[in-house]
Amino acid sequence: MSYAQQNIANLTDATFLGSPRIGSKVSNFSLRNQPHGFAPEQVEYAEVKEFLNQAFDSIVASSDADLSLIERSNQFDYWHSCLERLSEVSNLISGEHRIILGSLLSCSKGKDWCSFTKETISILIKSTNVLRQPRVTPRESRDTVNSLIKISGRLSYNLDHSVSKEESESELEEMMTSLIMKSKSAKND
Amino acid sequence: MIDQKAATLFDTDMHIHRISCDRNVRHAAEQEFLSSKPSAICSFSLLELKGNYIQDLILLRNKTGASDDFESMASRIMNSGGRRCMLMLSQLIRIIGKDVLPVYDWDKTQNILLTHIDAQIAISWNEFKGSVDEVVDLFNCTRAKEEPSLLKNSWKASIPRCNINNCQCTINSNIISRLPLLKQYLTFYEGLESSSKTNELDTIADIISKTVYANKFPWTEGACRKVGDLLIALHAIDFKEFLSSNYKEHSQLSKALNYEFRKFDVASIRLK
Repeated sequence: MSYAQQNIANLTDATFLGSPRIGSKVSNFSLRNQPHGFAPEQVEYAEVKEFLNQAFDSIVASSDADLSLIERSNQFDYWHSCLERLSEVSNLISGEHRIILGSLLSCSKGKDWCSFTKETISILIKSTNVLRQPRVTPRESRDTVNSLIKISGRLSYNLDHSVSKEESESELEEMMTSLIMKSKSAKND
Repeated sequence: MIDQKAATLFDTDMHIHRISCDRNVRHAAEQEFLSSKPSAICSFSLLELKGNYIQDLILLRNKTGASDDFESMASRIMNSGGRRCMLMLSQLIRIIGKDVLPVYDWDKTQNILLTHIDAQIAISWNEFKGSVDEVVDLFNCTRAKEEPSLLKNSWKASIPRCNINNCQCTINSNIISRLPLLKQYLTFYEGLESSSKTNELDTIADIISKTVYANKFPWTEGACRKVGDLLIALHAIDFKEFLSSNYKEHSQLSKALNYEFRKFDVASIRLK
């Protein structure tokens, strides 16, 4: 049995149950108006479920010793893309799911497959599996965050500005101004 | 249990320096956490983290969640949280990637930001607790045990005013048992040059005087949060050293209460 198959076998009890809903929040995403007058983007629960399953399958595949290193690296990148895509529709998942999703994104931000060992990839597999459970308790989310902190050393973003330099602050202000302009012009189009 | 006589106690600000935007400060603080072992924080530091940094994140979360577009989010954060929160938001966007964020599509942008902010709130609490070998708690602080919790898309991290019904702490008996030591502080403070006095040191002297007079620490009047430096200093007495960038207060408190204070010199680290 390959490492990836073992991982799947170990996770049987906690695997996704195929519930029609992820978390407890009822979606209003498809009811919202989208910009530019396009038809509303239909992102249904089934699609979220699909993202989660694809994310899980790809992170499992990234640890499959039967695949080439390039394939495994690509699977890892695909896993990360799935998580990013999921964060765009995170109103469809519960707060506890969102905490795990954000922690996984933080844990893998700017990293490649080769940044992780076999053991640390297995933590990512377990965490992704918790993410695709229909319900996640606060305890499960806390344990998942802690296990991700353990393998990363640090997951916090560097957000404190109490001792930052003026030039870096003015750079940030310029960036915000340009984003506000971009948002305004998109609305006017 | 760690041997406190061989351990370093970290002030709350050391964790904040670990997540500083200034690379030199961040690396130096990180190095301290790695090399100063065994290490500890005081439970009161968790309360300070929750009352300051985590409150800032919750403000970002609330304003982002309640806004209808990118501009209104930015303006609401600036109006309610000021420049500091605005810089936090900007830095968060820079980390996520300004080109990744689809600002023309508010629904997506909002969801991405909320995902990262929710995670950062949970992470900052857990990471701070786990960054040291032990969290010490002389006073069995009830408020410090209350971790931020997410209830139906809304974070609960408020710090209620302590009263007899919502607290099981031992702060009063503990402070009363240390009155001789605290009286030493009053004598020390009276002899201090006015240039060395600060508002915080003054508040500490005032609250100790009230405690001596009434033989009761005014914990139900919010005294704990007013004298956070003192409460952390009382923990520091048992440790090999106390590490903080808060020089003005701890350089004086350490002399009065007799503990080893090591300054984390932010100004000189920035110049390197």
